[in-house]
Amino acid sequence: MRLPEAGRPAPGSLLWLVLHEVRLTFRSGRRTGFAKWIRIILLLAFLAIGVMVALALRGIPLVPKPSWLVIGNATLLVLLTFMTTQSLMTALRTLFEKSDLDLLLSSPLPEGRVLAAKLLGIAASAAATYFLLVLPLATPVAVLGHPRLLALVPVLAALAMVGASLGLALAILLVRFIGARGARAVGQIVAAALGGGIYLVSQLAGNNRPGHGRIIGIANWLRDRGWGTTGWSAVPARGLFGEPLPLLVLLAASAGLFALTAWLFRTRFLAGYQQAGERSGRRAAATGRGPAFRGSLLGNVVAKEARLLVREPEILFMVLLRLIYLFPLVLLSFHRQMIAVPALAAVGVIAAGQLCGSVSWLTISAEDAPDLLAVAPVEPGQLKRMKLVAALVLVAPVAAIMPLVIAARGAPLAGLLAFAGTLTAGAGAGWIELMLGKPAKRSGFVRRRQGSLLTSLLGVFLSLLVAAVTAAAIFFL
Amino acid sequence: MTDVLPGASMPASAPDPRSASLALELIGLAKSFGKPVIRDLDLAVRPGELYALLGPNGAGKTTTLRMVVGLTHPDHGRIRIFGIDALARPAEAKAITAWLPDEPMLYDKLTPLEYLAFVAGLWRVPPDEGVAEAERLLRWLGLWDDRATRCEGFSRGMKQKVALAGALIHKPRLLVLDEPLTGLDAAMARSVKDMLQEQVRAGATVIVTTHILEVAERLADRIGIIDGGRLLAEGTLAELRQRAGSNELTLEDMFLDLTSHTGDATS
Repeated sequence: MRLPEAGRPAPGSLLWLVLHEVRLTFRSGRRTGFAKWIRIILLLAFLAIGVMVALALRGIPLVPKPSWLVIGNATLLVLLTFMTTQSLMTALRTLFEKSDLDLLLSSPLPEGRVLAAKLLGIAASAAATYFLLVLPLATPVAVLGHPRLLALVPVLAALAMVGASLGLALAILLVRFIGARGARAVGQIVAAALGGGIYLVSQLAGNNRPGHGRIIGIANWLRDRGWGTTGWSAVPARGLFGEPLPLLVLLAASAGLFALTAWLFRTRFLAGYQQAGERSGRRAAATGRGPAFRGSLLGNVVAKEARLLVREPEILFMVLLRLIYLFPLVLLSFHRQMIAVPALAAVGVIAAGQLCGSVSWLTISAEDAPDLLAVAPVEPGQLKRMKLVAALVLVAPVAAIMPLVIAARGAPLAGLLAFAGTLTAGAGAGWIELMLGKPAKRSGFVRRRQGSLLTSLLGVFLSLLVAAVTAAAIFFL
Repeated sequence: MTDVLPGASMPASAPDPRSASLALELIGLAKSFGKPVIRDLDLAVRPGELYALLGPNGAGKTTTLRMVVGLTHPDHGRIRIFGIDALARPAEAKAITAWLPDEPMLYDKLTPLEYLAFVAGLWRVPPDEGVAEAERLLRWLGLWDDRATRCEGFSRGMKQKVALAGALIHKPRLLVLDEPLTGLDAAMARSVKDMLQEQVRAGATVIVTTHILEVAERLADRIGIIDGGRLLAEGTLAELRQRAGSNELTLEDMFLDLTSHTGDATS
């Protein structure tokens, strides 16, 4: 028998500790054979795309024209934002949540080395993720005629150092002011909003989309003012295109920032850590009045579900984020007056269906203490129905927006129809959950569809049907 | 002397010859988190002794132990582990100490074997020694068949066992355990108790906090009772009884009697 990883690099060395951090980061997902194959297929697909792009670009010289520099800088900025968010999440996980600092600091290794390894591990994890994503695409282009693109490797490393520094600073600040759980919620929200934002920009930037001209306009405006094309602001993009001096400047600056962060981290964070007592994940409930003891069971159920929903802002945000794909539709309907009202009504109905489906899943299926409810002297069916009512009550303020907007635009009857459709779709989605939902964990919200495909499909089908009927009714009104 | 924190209540002086012969010595230890948690605590544990630290919830037991293992800095006072000044030379002190908190310091995503390899690396255990010791510990704890399974699916007792193996893999001279029996079933609790006695027989020193008085009564060579950050009484069970003035008293009676005077005693 051999102990894994015994041998090289030397146990207790900085590299050994960094590799340990990276290993933990890449194990944070679930390990299934299926996921492994998906990863391999994705990697090959990326490589194939990279080869195609490389062949297409073969004869075309990649010179840093001003527009290219703006695009390069924008890309780097997007990458940096992603790396910062990822680093923020890694820092939260590895320093505050499931922290192994107690173990590491109770070992005889120098404290400075332990903390340096933490920071390097955060940067290495961020860099590794994007190497995996970007290199299969970029390497073929670099090999087939554009060797300067290999500059991506040091540029990504520099970005990872900056991202890790920013992410760590953010993590420490956020934890200081809103606690580890709050910081995690902020991280998740920022990550989700980034993804959603990039989706929106990509939708709006397409030809013939309402936002197309504006985004090109912004790019041109930046270029005309020399942002990202001259002077210091051009350094990152020029580095990306393989110019030696900007590349060196970029690397030196990020290494400097990284070293400064490491020093601050070591002195400030460690002192704070050793001054503080045991850190606990416990969080005091909101101060002020104590919880009301309600006589009515329904009131009690609604209050409990509302409280749980509000105290998990990340889940609440995920629920809302599921609606983001409807946003271009709303913009579109404002763009073309003719279909405005029916389209808006349809969007409202679909949104209500989705929201009610998600929230009633949370209230009905994702009960954290099912046994408690099972042993309570209440008929189970009655409790479930009350939870459905709770879901509807919670969604109502959001779902009411669209019918009200339509009514406010001078079409009260259409508003009423939209309201009827919204209510039908919402109640229907909730009812499907009531009939078909299976018990699940709240934390599984993101993966929910795996568990209840039928419920989700039925919900979507019902929403679309009601949306179509509502839109048609308003159109022919 | 450089090993006295600023404002230490003890005057700087030459090392006490007694220190080297003690496994753990706390002198004038103090710590406050807003309000004082540990006040002027003196404690001495002899080598080869099983010392039980008793106290109601919030008495300062865990804070004391965290200071001993170097996770929390005291505001004042000195800590010596086998004569080594733990504040001035933390690495040397940590090298011979093991810490087992009630919440196991584990990685869900590592297997028991990977975990032990990691911990052995942290304590610089020579690889071949680590391999042999890991196998011995895993077999002894009944984890050998699960050595390549990630800890995420383990029960609380199994996780506690893995953490215990981690604490023992570098053969510590001083073993510090915080509520080691929390959440364990009777069989596992028995084997932990046996393990503690075995460690003591093998020459190690064990300090353990517990709220299970029977454990202290049956296992401990000496018992310290703390509350409100102060040591209220210390000694063997017989000495404590003598102090209380009755041979009829159980440890529970004495414990409740002592701690009820300081306020928030639990029953």
